[in-house]
Amino acid sequence: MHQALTPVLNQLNKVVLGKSHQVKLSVACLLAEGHLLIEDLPGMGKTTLGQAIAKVFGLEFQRIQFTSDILPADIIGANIFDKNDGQFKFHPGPVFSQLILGDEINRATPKAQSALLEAMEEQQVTVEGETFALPQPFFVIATQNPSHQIGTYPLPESQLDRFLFRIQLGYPDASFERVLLQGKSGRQNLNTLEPMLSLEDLMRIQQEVAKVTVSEHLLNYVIHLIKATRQSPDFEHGLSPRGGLALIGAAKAWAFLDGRDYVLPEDIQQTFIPAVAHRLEFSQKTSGDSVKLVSELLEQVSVPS
Amino acid sequence: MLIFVQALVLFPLWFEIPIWVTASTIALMLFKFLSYRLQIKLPAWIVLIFVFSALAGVYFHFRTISGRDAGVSLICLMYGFKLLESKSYRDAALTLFISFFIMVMAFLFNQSIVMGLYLLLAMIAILSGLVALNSIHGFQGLKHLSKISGVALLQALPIMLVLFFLFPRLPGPLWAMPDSSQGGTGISDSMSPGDIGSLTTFDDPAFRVKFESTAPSANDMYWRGMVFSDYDGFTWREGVRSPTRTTNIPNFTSRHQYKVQMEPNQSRWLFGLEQLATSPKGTFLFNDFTWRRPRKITTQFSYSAEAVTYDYQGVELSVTHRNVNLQLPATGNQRTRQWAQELFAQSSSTQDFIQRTLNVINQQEYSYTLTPEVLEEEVVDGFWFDTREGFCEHYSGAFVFIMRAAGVPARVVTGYQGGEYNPYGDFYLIRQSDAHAWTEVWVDNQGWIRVDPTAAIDPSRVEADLRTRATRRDSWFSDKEFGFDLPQGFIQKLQLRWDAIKSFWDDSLMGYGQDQQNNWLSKIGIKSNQWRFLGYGLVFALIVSGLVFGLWLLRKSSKRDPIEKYYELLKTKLMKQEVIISPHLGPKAILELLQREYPELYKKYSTPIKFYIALRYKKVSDKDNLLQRFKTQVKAL
Repeated sequence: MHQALTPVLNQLNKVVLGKSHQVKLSVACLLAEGHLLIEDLPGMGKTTLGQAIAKVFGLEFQRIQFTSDILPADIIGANIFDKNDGQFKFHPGPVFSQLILGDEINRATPKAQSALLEAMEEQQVTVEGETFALPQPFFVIATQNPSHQIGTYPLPESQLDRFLFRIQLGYPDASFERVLLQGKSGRQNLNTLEPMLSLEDLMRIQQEVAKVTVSEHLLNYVIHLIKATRQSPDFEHGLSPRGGLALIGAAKAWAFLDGRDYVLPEDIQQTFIPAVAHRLEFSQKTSGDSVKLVSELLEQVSVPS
Repeated sequence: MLIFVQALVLFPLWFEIPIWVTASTIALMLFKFLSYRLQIKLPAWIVLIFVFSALAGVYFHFRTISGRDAGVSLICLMYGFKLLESKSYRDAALTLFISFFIMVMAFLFNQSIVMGLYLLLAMIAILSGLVALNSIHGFQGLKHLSKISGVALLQALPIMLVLFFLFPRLPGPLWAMPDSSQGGTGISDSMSPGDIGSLTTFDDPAFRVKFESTAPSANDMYWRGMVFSDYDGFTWREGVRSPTRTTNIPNFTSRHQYKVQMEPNQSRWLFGLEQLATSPKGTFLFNDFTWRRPRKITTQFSYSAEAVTYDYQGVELSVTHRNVNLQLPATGNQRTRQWAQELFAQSSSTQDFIQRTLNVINQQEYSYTLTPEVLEEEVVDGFWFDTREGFCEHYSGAFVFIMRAAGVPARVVTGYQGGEYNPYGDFYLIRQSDAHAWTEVWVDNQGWIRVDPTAAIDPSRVEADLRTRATRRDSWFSDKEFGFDLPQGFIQKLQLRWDAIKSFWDDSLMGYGQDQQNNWLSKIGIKSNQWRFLGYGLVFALIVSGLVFGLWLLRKSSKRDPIEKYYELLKTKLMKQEVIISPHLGPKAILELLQREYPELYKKYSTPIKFYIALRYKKVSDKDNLLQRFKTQVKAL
């Protein structure tokens, strides 16, 4: 089944230039039924990536631009009085969509943030006692600006935990930069993108990903890693069991993308930083790059023979 | 921490080893402390020079490097140097483990309770060191450490008890060192004027006695040790005598059963309440009623004995014996000889003669002092007629001289008299200061009767300070100048109690040797020969079960994971090909690395690695077959 995904990845790479690893991670995130948080400076192609994924997978796409004055009703919708019926009628907000791009999520107030985050966790929305199920699949790509920027409300740890991955796009390579500067950015390709997989295909792939074998031996390795995060003095506290589950789910998707029906330690290593780094709180005395610290930790834990 | 432990362990030894060794070990510890603080490091060759000079120093001091004192000094020095070169975890652990050994060396010199308690403290310190060393969290406070160590000690207690009671004992304690230079205290094998006088100032315990039957009164407690029958005009020595199996006197009545616990006194004679019957196990009985051990008493030694009264009716003194006990130098002390013969002529019987002589001592101006005038020639004449002052040996020596001069067989007996009763331990303590000399005179049909001429001195003529000696110890302590106001006798009670504890320690713990173990085991129904078999069986069983457990562990680890074993082998083989494999590389990463940089090796290794991946991470149905193939592949590499 994963062969079907290879052209998808190729297509995405034509839109988002020089970021094949991040593209692969994003797709893995979708396959693992998780949500994606992209943290980067404005103008790095976050939105492009989100839109491209929506198009390629043929998902219904909505974009919510978070601002400091956005209200929960702007996201989930509201009951509005219908003159003809003489009744209140629920008008679904942008959250009722298969793929949501929440732009600059940390610019919104915590109340608005949590409206989206609750929807992500429960896959449903409750308005005035009435519950509305969200469409399936439901995939959120949120972007956030680095937290030191002015006018941001950093997401609390409990909400960061809801994202399977947090990735950074980073600056493109010089060669891709050149292409971009020549005005041949992938943005133009965006409009020509056609859905390459049906919704059913995607759902079936997601089911297959869930069935990827995780051996006892691999679990040993994961347990060593989790233990290391808990014992390391660099972190305030270690990885939660939910974090561990997320890691395994991510690794399964990664293995599937590699064409395997079993997980290898390398899958764990590849997905470890995006799946774990944002869940760990750094202790007071530790300064430095979170990604660097987590990758150091990865090198300290040996793969059991 | 290490330095502290080392100081603690070496402390008791510092008093035993030469002063320069003590100084060196202290200097080494100080140096280590400073160098740690100041981050100085000595080059290895300088340390080497020090080590060799220390070796040379020990050799020149003792002229040997073996033997107890030289060996201990050498070990102490090397222990100090070990600390100097300690850097890694391994060094520190080694130093701590050596500490256990060094600690036990202190027992070579001293086996008292105080030492036992001190070493318990030292042991806790060493254990704490080990705990701190092995803890991931590092140092967590002394309280925490000693708690863990204490718990570990308690856990070891049952094993200790089992080994204490059941482990086969060597005859005599392990740490009995034959060349101990400790000066022997106690009475000597000859008696010259002044010998016992120097003893009566020692308060050290000589031995302890526990009566199993009723005890005689303290006045009647004469503990005979040696009999002197040979006199050269100045010194009394042991005469001709022979070991004997029995005393050849058929009829006797038993009076007292008792058990004696000797302090080590570096001599061979034993003490017993007169009169002696059969000799205790491991001793000889001589025909002058003395006991002897074949070896010097270097450790606590205890024996059971019986005091009897012989029936001498019709028993004759043999000619040899009579001659031995009438022997006098051919000339000298003529005044006394003449005096004695005159007095004997006036006496109606031997008993009357003895009584008359004692009356002379009692009624004339004979006095008791520990500092008599020193006589060089005609000792007996000078004492008997001129100075008329002295202590037990002057009196007993002169008395025997008088008896012999008149043709009555007599001999000097030395030993101890009296004993202090300890109500807490129910035993009598006999101190060196109880040393005494008295006499025995042969009276036909009554045998050897004990005569103590010293006891005949009129009490008014015993030096005042000697009379009060028994109570003086109290007055020293209750002296108001010290600011104490202790109740009368409190110190004495305390001392008695301490002595009771010490007696238990020496008798039951230190003295738990082969015999006691046999006794104890036969009490619980294991016979001597059986238990020995059992004891060796126990050791054997321990070794075997250790081996089995070790093998089981080994098997378990290899059986549990042949995949791991062979994958490790594969990685080792790769490493030999100078491929660097960091431990965090998974099998796929290794494959990629080989493919990228070692295409040759990739060809050889890719199949087994793929097998490994399948075995470890894939769902496979025919795992055993795969494993076999993996094994052969790896072996073939």
